[in-house]
Amino acid sequence: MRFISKKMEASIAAGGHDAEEHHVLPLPLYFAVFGALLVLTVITVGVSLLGLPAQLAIAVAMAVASVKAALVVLYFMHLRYDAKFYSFIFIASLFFIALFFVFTIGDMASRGLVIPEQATEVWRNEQLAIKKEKAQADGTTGGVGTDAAAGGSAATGSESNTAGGGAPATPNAGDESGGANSAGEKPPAEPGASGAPATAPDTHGNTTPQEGGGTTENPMQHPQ
Amino acid sequence: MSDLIHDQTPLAQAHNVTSGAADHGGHGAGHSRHLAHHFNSMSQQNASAKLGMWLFLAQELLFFSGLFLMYALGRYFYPETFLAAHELLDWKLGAVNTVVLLFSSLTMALAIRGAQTNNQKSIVTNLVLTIVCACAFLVIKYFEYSHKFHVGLLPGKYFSANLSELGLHHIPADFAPGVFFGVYFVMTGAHGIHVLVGIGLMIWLLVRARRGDFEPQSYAALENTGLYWHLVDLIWIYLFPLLYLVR
Repeated sequence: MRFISKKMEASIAAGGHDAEEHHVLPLPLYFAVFGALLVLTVITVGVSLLGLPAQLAIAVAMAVASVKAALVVLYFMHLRYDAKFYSFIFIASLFFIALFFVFTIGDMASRGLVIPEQATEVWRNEQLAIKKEKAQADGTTGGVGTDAAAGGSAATGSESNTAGGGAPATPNAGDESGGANSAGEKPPAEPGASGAPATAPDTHGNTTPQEGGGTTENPMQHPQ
Repeated sequence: MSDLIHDQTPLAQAHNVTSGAADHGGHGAGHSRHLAHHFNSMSQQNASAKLGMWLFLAQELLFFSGLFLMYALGRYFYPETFLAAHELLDWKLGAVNTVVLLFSSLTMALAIRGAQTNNQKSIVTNLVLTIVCACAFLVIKYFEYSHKFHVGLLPGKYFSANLSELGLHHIPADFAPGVFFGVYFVMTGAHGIHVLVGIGLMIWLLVRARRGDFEPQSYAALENTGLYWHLVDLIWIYLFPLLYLVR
């Protein structure tokens, strides 16, 4: 196993001075990289103005950003010309970031598969129920609840309950349905039933209407 | 193994300390005045400094990755809010800041090139340009922040903006835009602090550059600050589309 490369041996023989210690990159290269970065910035902005579906838009934006990042790292930070060990450190940190993301997001996205009550959509419905309850406690009975419900359903044109689907939905996965990538995790608010706690869809496919018109009820309790 | 450890890495050079003991005593003629006693050669000294810097940058990336994950989860739980929120930010200001920061990265790289080619004037000029750009970035950020404070686009429970007064009727008010602004202020704030630190470092470098401290064999401080500055740029390259553009 070699610990020292041939070049290093030569360098030691030369008294420790490494003749090719630094690569002086030609000036036009720097300007070309800067120009490319500007062009890519224009592309990012341009693509965002096209109004692509949300999932596609973020994928394109991240892809372009990654190309820009690669240019900065390879040329401005000289990683392309430096000792490979620095690249190794950099890539190792990216690897751990990937682990961090994959496990955390994987956890959030797949909870509903294992523990249906902990699916994201259930969490969101609970939040909304808590909010309504608070509004009622504040004395603004009915009005606020209806407003919120109306606003909610107006905002999502393509509201679709997961009821009937049966699958405990993992909300965002593979969903490219435009701005409403939240379809299915939107609380099924019914403007008519003013004040009543929203009928929470349980993830087994049927909606469970909770009792009571406006009585305080713990939204955390999910009838199974 | 031998692929990973190349000529300039301290690991290889640490080995060199034992094998090249004869060289070690000769701190006389031909050695840079910047060579610290415990290093074998300038290249070893510079490589050690750079290794430390890259380890620090790896840590910085991991630190920021936590914030990016916060963004990802915020988006996951509040998709409408995050998709609508770009309308609450001015993408033009964000784009100007992007160009300013990219240009400052270029001038920083040119300052280092100035040191490599022993062009003292280039080092000073480019450092000044970089500092000016960094300040311009913060000034633009200041205007963005003060506008948000003014209209109440604030994190969490402090969010007090009236969305319909701002002409944004279609943003669902029942999905906590305060969450988005928590993410926005924490991410841009952490980035802004890095810019501030960068300005401080570059002023220090400027003083040293005017003293003629940087030579082709000795510009580790300049190079490492450059690496740091490019990382700050790198973070912004991701922040800009995520916060200002994605819709």
